[in-house]
This record gives sequence, C-alpha cells and structure tokens, in this order.
Amino acid sequence: MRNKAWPEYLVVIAVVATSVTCSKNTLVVHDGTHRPTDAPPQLTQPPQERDPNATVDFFEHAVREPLTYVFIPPRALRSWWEEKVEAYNPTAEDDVENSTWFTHRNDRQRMTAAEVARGPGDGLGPDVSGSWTVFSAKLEGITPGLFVRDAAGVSYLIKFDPSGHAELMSAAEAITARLLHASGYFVPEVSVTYFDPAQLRAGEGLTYENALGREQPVDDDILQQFLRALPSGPDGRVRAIASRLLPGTLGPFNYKGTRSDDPADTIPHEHRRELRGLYVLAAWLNHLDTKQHNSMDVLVEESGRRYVVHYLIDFGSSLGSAGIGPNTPRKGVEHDADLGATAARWFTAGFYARSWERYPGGSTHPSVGFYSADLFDPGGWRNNYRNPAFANRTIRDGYWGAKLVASFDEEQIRAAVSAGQLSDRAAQEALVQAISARRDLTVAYWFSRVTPLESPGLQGSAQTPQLAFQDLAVAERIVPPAGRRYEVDFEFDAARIRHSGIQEPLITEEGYGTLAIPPPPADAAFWQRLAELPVEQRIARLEIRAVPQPDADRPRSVRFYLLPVPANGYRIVGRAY
Amino acid sequence: MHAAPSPSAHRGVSPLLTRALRLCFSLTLLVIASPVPALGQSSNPDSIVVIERGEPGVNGWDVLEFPFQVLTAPLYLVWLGGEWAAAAASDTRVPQKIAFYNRQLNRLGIYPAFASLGAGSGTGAAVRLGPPSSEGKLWGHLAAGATVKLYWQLTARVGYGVEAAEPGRGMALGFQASGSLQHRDRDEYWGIGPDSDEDDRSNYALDRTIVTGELMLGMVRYVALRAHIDWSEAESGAGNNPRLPSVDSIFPAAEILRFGDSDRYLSFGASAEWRNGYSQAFVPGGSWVRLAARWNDGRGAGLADFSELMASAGLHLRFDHDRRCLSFVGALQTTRQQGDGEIPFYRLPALGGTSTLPAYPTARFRDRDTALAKIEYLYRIWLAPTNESALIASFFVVGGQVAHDISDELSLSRIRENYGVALSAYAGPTTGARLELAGGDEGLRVNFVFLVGS
Repeated sequence: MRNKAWPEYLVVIAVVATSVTCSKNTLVVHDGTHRPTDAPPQLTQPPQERDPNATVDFFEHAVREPLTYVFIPPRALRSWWEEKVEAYNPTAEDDVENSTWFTHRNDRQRMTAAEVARGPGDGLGPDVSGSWTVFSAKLEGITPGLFVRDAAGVSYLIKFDPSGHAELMSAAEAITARLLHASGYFVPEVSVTYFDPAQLRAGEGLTYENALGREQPVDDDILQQFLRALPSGPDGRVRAIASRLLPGTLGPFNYKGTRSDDPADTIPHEHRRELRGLYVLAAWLNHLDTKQHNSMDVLVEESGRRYVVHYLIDFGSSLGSAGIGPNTPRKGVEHDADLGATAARWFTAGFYARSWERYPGGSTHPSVGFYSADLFDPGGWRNNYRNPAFANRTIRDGYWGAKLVASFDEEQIRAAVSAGQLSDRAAQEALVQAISARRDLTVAYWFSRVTPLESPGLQGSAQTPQLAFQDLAVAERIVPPAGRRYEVDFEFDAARIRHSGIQEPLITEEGYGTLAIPPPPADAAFWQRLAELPVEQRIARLEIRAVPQPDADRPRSVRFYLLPVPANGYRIVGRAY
Repeated sequence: MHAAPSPSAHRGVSPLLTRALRLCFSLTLLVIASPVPALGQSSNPDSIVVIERGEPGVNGWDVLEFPFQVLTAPLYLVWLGGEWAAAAASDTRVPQKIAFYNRQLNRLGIYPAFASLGAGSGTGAAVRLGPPSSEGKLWGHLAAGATVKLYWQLTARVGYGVEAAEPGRGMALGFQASGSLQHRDRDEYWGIGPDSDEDDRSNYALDRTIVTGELMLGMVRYVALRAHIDWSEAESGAGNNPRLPSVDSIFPAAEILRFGDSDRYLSFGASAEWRNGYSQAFVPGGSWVRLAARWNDGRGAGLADFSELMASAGLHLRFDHDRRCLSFVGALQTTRQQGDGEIPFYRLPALGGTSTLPAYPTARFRDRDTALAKIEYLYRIWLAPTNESALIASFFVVGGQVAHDISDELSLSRIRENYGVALSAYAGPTTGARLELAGGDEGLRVNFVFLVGS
C-alpha cells in the first residue's frame, strides 16, 4: 500500500514546497554608494558567434508564445493573477550599476547639448575627403546597403532612405541612436552623411548576394549604376546613414536567457532591469524593431582583459520611420501580428477596436512620417513583435526607464534632432515638439504609478529625525506641491515601534520636502540589545505612499530601509518602489 | 509446445512500468516545485545584508501548468518541425527564389497563379501568357489552367481599350475577343426540378468550346454598357467520379435534357451596369446594379431557343471608419424557352456552392428560374502594417430557391436558407482565400475558395 501511495505524498510535498517558496522580491541593501559590481570576469575562451534565424525568432515570439496562453490556460490565469517577478539586478537604490550593458550618462551627469548631438564617437561620420572602397554590398532587397572603408580606413555600413521619403529613415536612425546613447545604452557611432557617388570604388573581388543567394561580381560600372538610381541632391551628392562597424562582433544577444559561453552573463536577459526598462525608452522613441537581431554582442579586449559588451543597433524603424517607408498610426499601438487584438475583434464581431483604427490623422511631414503624441500610450505601447524583456517589465522597471527619459530637456532633444539633418525646418520643429510631448506623457504616466521620492537623506537630530526627499511628480509639474500628502507607515520591530499617519509637508516647487519619522529609543539597553541582533533584524521599514489626486489611481509606495545609528538616528540602507 | 504466458509475468512488467512512470512524474514535480535558486540571484558583494529573500518564478502555478504542457507537447513538436521548415525556407531563400522566378516569368509575359476555373472546379494552377491588359493598347494573352479535379481550360484573348480623357470620366471604349476550350470531368448532377428527384446525385462530364466577342462602352463615370456575341459548342458525357454513378446510369434518358448530345448555340447579349462609389477594398463599400439579357439561338435538331434575363444588385454599407460593413446582395435569373425543343440541363441556372448557397454543393439546385438574397456582416479583424493584406471575418445569411415558372418563384415554397461564418485572408484587395462554415437543412459544410481578381 505504501508503494502505491508515495507519488501522491510527493504531490502534496510539491504543493507545500511551492506554497512556501512563492516568489518574493529580493531586496539588496547596502551602504548606498555606487560601486561597479558587474565587472566582467576575464574570458579565457572567446564566445562563439550567434546567428539566430529571423523567421524563427518572429514566429517564436509573435505566434507561439501568445498561443501558449490559449493552449495552457493556467498561464493566462497566472499572467492576470500573479504579480510579475521583479528584475534580478537592481541595486539597493533600485537602480543598476554601470556594466557592459548600460552606463549611467545623462541621468547622473547632465550632458551638454553638444555631447548629446555628438553621440558615441566623434559624431563626424565617414571621412568624405577621399575615395571610399566598397568591400561588401547588398544591392537588392527592400533595404540595400554598402559596406565601405573610408579615406581614413574606417569601415561603415551605408544605408539609404526609402524611395519617396528622403531623410526619413536616416534622420530617425541618427536621432534615436543619440538619445539611447545619452540614456546610457551602448550604440554604434551613427551619422548622416552626404557623399559624391563618384568617390566610391568597388573593392577587389567585390560581390553581392542576389535574391537567389548567389554571389554576383560587382565592378565600378554596376556600382555606379546602383548609385545613380538613388535620389541625390542638386549638387549630385547622395544622402545616407553611416553606421561605424563594430569590431569583434559575436552576433546578437537574445532578450531571453543568458549567453552560455559568457561567464559574466549570469542574469537572464528578460530579468535585466536595463532591458526591461528599455521598453520605456523604446516607447518614447517609437523604436519598434526591438528584436534580438537589432542587438550585437561585441568582444572587447582592454588592458589584456577580454569581455563582452552588449550593443543596441539599427534604429531605422523608430520615430516616424518604418525603415522601408513612413509609419502609420497603427505602429506602436499594436504588434504586427497581434493575436490578442485580432481575437478580440473576431469574437466581438468587430466592436472591439484599437485607438488607431478610429484615428483620422496621419503623417504631416514626409521626412518625419507618423510620430505623434496623439495615440501614444506610454504603458501600452507595442513594438513590432513581443520582446521577452519588455513582456516581463514591472512598474519598478518602468519608473526606472522613465527617470532616464525625464533626464532629457528640450535643449538636449533639439540637439539630438539636429543630428538628423532634416532640411525642412518645419519638419524638424514638429519632431522636436513630438519627442518632447511624448517625453512628458511618458514621465507623467510612470511617475504617477509610484511614489517618486528621490534623493533621500536624513535630517534633524537623533531625536527628531526627518526624511528629506525630492518628489519627482512635483518637480515634473505632474501634481502641484500644495496639498501633496503622504501616507507614512513606520515599522521598527526591534524597538516595537509601529506608527501610521498622513503627513502634508511643505514642498517646494522643485519637489523638495521632509517627512517626520519616529526616533529610535534613546536608552542604552535598547542599543545593547540591538547590537546582539542579526543585522537584518535591526532594520526599520519606512513605507510612504503619495495620496493620489481625486481622479487618479493609487500609486505604489516607496519603501526605505533604515539602519539605526546611535549618533544620527538612522542611516538609509536601501529603497524599493 | 509453447507455454502460455503466466499472469504473474504480466503483473511483473506492468507495475515496473507504472512505477517508472510514477517515478518520472514525481521527480518532475519535485524538480518543478523545489526552490532552485535563480541565476543571477547571488547576493551582491557590496551588500551588508539581504532581506526578504525569495526565489522568484517557481511556485504552484508551474504545477498547474505542467499537465497542459505534457498534453501540448505533441503540438510543440509539430511547431518545432514548422520552425525548422521555416528556418530552412528562409536560409535557402525559398520565398525570395519564388518571388524572383515569378518576376522573371512576368518579365517574359508569363503569369503563373493558383486559381479556380469556375464554380466547383477546385483549385488548380493556371498560367497566363502575354502582357497585362491595359487601356489604350492592343493586348492579347493565352491562359491555361488545370485543377486538382483534372478540369482544364485553355483561353485566348485579344482586346483593345481606348483610354478615357480623364480617369473615371467621359467615354471609354473597349473591345475583347476570346476563344476558350473547357473540359470538366465530374460535375455533380442533382436532378433538375419536377421531372426528376432533386436529391438524386450523379455526375457527368462536359466539354465546351466558346468563342466570344464583346464591346464595352463606359458612358459616364459609373455606367458601363456591354454587348457581346458568342458561339458555343458543348457535349456532355459520362462523368468519371468513381464515388458517384454517372448521370446516364440512374436517370431515364428522357429526364436528362440533351444528355450525350452535341449542342451549338449562337448567343447575343447585352448588359448595363451602374456603380456608385463601389470599392473593392478589403471591406467593400458602395452599391451596384447590373442588368443583363441574352438570347440563345439553338443550332441543331431538338435544341430549343431560349432567353435569359439576369438582374442583380448590391449595397455595401461601410461604417466605423471602413472597418465594418453590412452587405446586401440580391440576384434573379430567369430562363424562358421559345418554341419546341429542349434546353440542355447544364445551361439552366443553378444554386449551391460558395458564391450562392454555401451549405450545399455546387449546382445543388437547378431549374429555369433562380432567386437569391444574401445579407452579410463583414468586419476587419487584422490589417497588415503596410495596409497590403488583411483578415476579414463575417457572418452571413443566404436564402435562395429555384423554380420552374414564375408562380413557383413567387410562392417561395422551395426556398432554402443557409447561414454561416467566414474568414477571408487577403494578400491584396482582390487576391486572397476564404474559409467558410455554412449550415443549412442538409447539415454543415466547410468551403475553401481562392479569391483571385474577384
């Protein structure tokens, strides 16, 4: 009898085990200083080059994964019921450390307009003073391109605007690359360039792959024939976008899982804060083609150490550009193959509609395409097809990304747009206004979903401690400072202190204010007893939630973790939104 | 001498297998449920403490999902096979090669396509030779096609079109002449009215030769007039569908009008068509009315002269930003015999099939007169980002009847109703495929048709 029953016991054990291991978020607290902790270990073996199939990637994410919610019903229920797992790599400040994925730039140290406009590298693009040698070519297909070596011997990929939409793709790529770089991501050096077709020479043995995959020889005549078909300016020069080739490429990184042959790559990419938070920036800039094929791992060798740096590449499908033409209002509102929206329309007999379907507007400038704040939903924006990291994003990831977006002001946006070299001034201004408007919408959306208290510090004496902060919702003019109230919950188990209440502090126009918190007990016996406790039991928790405006949703609270310190009262050792 | 296997031997194997399965199952559950630390969750070296620690992602939901994952494992294997095929196709550039060779053929004036050769013919391959027809030019082409039912058709067309001074305005003139050979192997025959049982089912073969001349006059923006003359010769015979008896084996010869005879007709016809805002978008809009008449002069002994009158109209009310449409279509056709003789059965109008009564087979009902009314609610459920393709869903109700004379027609005594749902996939405004599920008094029927230039 026992033999027959033991699997059933195991089921019970399994269920009990799962109930006790239900997910909780890891919170790491430390002393609050930023130190690089994601330093890559030395690579002994260079990783293998990846070459995933683009068709498989599309069907995997656009069709198979959504269908699992149909064929595995508990998964649909789970996605609705269960809170998503938070990112694995936030710091004690709910931020990320500088790493081979991301480096804090504009959010930590405001970049000048010139620095934003320059982007990575010198921002000058290829050297047009001499001839260029074409060493590889893609002369057919929707997006033809040339691989060239300029007069200075630097290699670039040259791509051209879609027919009938001069400046559209090249401007979008140059602008988006600059804003993502200033945000902190690694992007290649991308510049708008004008060149004389006569300065191009076919390299020795140059071939191109025709539609059948066969290599065809290319000589100067064939090259010039191809270049003559491209639109050119009155001076005969051709406009293109030049992307400096990255050395040591290893193929794209997947937005899911890790790279098995890179020992530094330990955090599943779908749970990386930088990639989840990229959703917010991609939404802001309408960077639609955020698939793994538009990323690139690069092997870097520096001071005898080898490690992998992770780049984002190819921003031709961003802002108002769809790469092969202008965007339509549909883009950004719905995945290309959106099974959920399609099924919803089908089963509601067409009564269900997404916002774009009843939107009467369209693009106003051919060189900009459709890029507007009109249909923009910062939390519901959709790229071309499902991105695993984006799908796992939480409000905390969104808030993190929104802080990057908020770090840009109109002067910096204008500087980035100037790199697009749009000849139509009205189009350029329209683009600046649209990017700024979407910035404001993004910030308002995500900052309203949390209690955005930043720059925390402790003031006052040990007996009258106060938490000083900057409320970013006030600073961004999302809510007025007058009447801003907070629910404050304080728990200090070791001292048996529990205190709740609503406070309405005086807040400046820039969002600065203070909240009173209960002091730790002053008697020596308490401090002696406290010293004997494990460190995690010494920590007090201060939870603050902004009281929402009458017609607004209740935001998430921010939790500060405080370590009692005899002389100062407390020290902040961590926070989470 | 063979010993019969002892029952204990069976008992010895089966529990072992059962235990092994249980062990695998339980171990799987244990692995799923155990708190395996997630990658990247090691404590930060800078931390002074880690609190609220817990391993994410492994919980009771995984146990709930597990049986479904097991059940859908075969589907997953099928999917992997599909992915492998898609990867192989994209690696070997199969779609690009098809497109490339198609372009090369087009440059030579050769246009291959998948199409149907008329109602009930099934899907097949067709090829057209010659430049595309265009206004203001003399054009001509040859077309040949064969379907999975082994029907074949060969057509030659020449034409000339005079371009209107302004597109859509003023006069337009066109002329077209064509010659066509058709062979249909196994058309179904369901009886033709009061003299035969409507439910008797058989099949027959038909060979036709048709020569046509047509003159088209576009008078104003929305009106087109056409006049045509054609000569046709047809011969019916035994069908070759092995699952159905041939028509001559179950009907008395007298009941099969002109079966086995060679029929020649010289026909004169005219039609007028009026369109108002009609657009062949994925979701159609606008309205149209079409009237057509034809006189058929029988050239042979026992062959009756007869006239045909056809009237049809459509109203497509598009709304909700052209996403949805309520479509009304009605059609009447009447055939009147003049003098003695017989009209060949295959020249009588018929109902049944995807374009008329979709819950019935093609030409399920055949008689002198037909009436048909269709109401369809169409709605777009998906539009490609490039606006070049779409999925359109619809609900429809169709009513139709055949009648021997006008009094039968008015009585509505033989009316048949069909209802159903459909899903159409378009790769262009007039190119796509339609899958429909239709129901009627003879049960449900699934139809799949290619829509080419419809």
